[in-house]
Amino acid sequence: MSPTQPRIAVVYDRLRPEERLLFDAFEAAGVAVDRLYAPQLAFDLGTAPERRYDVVLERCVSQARGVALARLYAAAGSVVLNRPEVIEACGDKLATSAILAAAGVPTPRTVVAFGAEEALARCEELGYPVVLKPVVGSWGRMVSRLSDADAVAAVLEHKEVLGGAGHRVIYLQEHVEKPGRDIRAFVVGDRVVAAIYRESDHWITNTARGGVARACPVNEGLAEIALRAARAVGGGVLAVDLVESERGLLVVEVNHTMEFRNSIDTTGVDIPAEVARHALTLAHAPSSAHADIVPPSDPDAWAPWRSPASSAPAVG
Amino acid sequence: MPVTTVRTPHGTVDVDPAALELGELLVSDDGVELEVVSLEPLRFEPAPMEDEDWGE
Repeated sequence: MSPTQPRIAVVYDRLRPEERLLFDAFEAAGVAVDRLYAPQLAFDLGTAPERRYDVVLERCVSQARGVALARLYAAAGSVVLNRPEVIEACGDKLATSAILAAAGVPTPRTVVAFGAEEALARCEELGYPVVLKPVVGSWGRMVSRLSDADAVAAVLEHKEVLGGAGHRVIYLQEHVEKPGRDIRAFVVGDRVVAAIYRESDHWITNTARGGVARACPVNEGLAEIALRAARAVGGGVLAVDLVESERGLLVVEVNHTMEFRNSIDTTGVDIPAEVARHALTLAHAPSSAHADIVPPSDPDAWAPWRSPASSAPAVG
Repeated sequence: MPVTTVRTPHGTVDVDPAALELGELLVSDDGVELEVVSLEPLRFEPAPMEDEDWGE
């Protein structure tokens, strides 16, 4: 690698089509990229961190791995996409909801309960059906639409008996009647570069669950709310999922290692090239110019939701 | 590089070693999902099951 070339790495633990597409995008840009397979990495915390990369793209499917690696590379002085705080904010639905609410970003009504009795009482307030989600998870896994109190009680009992520690937090959301689709907006830095509708006869519209992608025009309203959501969680390279409702667009979640394999041909936008271009811009920019890397909109409002580990000192 | 047939305890896979990437998933003829965990030497392990903290 030429000494003047930006030093870029992609760290990952499962090679999805997206990681290959990112490798190809950097190659097309004429930039060598180090492919860091997380299971082969180890760090000695007793030595001073060394800044080996200008930019590290964190692409682990394991959130625990991803946030740890993001912390390590950030501590070493690299720009990490996405920063550990962003991963924490997006990887925990409770944190995401709290941050979005604090920033005034419209979301479905959400309540969190810590016991079955209180959860059932809150479901009555939300009105049935309600949507029960694990606070950590993706691809629509273990997301349940529950039509009455009996169904809620049964699922909560399953969670109590079978679930791990994460299932002690009961995350409930109003059910929003969708027009057979939701919207995913791809945010790269300070731009919404593309958006898709995810259409399905099933109420869960994730493409990982069979939802079909179709191009969605990025109008001013969509761009504005998607960027507000992205900035609220700290910015970077993010996929913002939204639903259309009687109250307008509502942000459901923000994804920090976005998948886009079904969205390139659909939208005509070379999303991995956009990500690579953004990473290279950050690599060349002085650290003070990382305009898209902003602190969460209201750190005081969401800090209590962060795990104690998130405030650990930087290591490298 | 030519395609090579690799035998594993979980079935055989046909691969082009030069084109493989760490972390890549392959399916053996026994239907087992294998992850490339080493390139030198070439080594596969059954891919881990999806974990709770996995996502995008």
